[in-house]
Amino acid sequence: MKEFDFGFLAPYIPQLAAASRVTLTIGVLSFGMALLISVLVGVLRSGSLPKILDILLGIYVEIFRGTPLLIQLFFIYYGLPSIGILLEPVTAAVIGLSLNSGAYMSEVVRASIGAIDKGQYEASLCLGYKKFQVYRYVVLPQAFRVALPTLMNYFSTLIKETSLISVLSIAEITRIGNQIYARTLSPFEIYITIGAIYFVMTYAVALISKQIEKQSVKWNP
Amino acid sequence: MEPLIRVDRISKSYAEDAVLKQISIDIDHGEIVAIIGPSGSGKSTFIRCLNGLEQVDSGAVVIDGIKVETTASVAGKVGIVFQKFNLFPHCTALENIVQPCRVVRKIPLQEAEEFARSLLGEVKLSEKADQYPASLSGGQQQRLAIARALSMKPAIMLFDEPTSSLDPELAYEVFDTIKSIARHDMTIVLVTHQMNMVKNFATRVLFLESGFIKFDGTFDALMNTDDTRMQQFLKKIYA
Repeated sequence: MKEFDFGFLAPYIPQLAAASRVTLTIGVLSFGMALLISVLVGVLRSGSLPKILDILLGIYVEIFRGTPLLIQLFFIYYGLPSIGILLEPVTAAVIGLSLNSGAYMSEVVRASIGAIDKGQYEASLCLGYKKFQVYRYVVLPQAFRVALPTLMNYFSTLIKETSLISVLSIAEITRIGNQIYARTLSPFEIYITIGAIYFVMTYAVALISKQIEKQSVKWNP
Repeated sequence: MEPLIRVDRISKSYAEDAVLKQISIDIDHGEIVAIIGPSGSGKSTFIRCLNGLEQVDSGAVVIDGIKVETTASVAGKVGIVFQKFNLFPHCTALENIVQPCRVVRKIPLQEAEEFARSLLGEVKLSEKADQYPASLSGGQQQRLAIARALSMKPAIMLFDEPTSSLDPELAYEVFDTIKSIARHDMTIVLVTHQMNMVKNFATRVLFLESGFIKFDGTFDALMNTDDTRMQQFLKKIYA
């Protein structure tokens, strides 16, 4: 049986560290944008929208949930230039990842808003809150607590999905791992190392999620 | 002089079910009106029409010269206390009062906190300022809901069965609080099944049944009614 030796990876540590930073930056940036998209779409779709806008947002959600992320990334990076929209690889990756996760997360936000008692709307409207203020101060803080565990799960998923953006020639961990493999022909050590890096990132997200949940345990619905 | 609340021939239906039928009534400043009646008689719908939580199908409600279209049209003038409290669970007792003061009345934080603490004192909840609603008893939650409604300095307070989800002891606490705010020259409309509250407190009683006002008068006059149906009802709930 082959003896496994991780020592040969030492010269590649700076490259792997840089690639991890790229993965993390794109992951965090995409999650931030996905969160914005999901709150916007979730709030709009949980209110009484004009029919046409509701249909358009529904189409967005269904298309991004119903097609593979890889195809979406190919379309944004390779397809859009056909209609004159040329994007940098990182920009295309962030747009693709955030639109994809935003579609899934908007449904979580919508369901969480739906779980808030009707009495909360009535009480705040009777106190004189405007509709926007009802969401800002009353509904969203409560819905956030309901949605938090699921949203943080999506954050972990998103970090793992950044491996797909290697197809856009971005120097993130999977791509760098593949390059090291091509040079060293030692897939076992390389992919264990790459997997471990992803695991550390997603585990950190899980710890942060638990910490935030602990903070919000102070109150109960 | 114009009455503070003018209800002019309002009707309200849910699908085929007519809940309020051409109801008219004037309520003057400082009156304490108790609304009683059997379940499904339209009491809650009536009180919810007074502040725009329900839109009337026909007729009009006019509060201090303003036609009620939505809750926003009379939010500062009319406060409401619900049966289920509807406190903000993510805010402490203090924040439940401070937040609307800041958001709606635009009061600076320090001033809002001082005002909120004085209101908590009025409803005997000073020591609970930093607790969340879930850790308060039902009676304390309802008193907090009253303080929150009062923080908007309304001229009229509506109470929609404020004690019906509480046991008698806690209901008494809430009743005491309502009595104390009534001293502040406030107009009160109260839906309740607690006849002791009606007797000791209301200056006027309305008996609602099948969407109509069947009786409008004092408690004593109500107790001496000749109407057999009302006598039966009173016997049941006052026994």
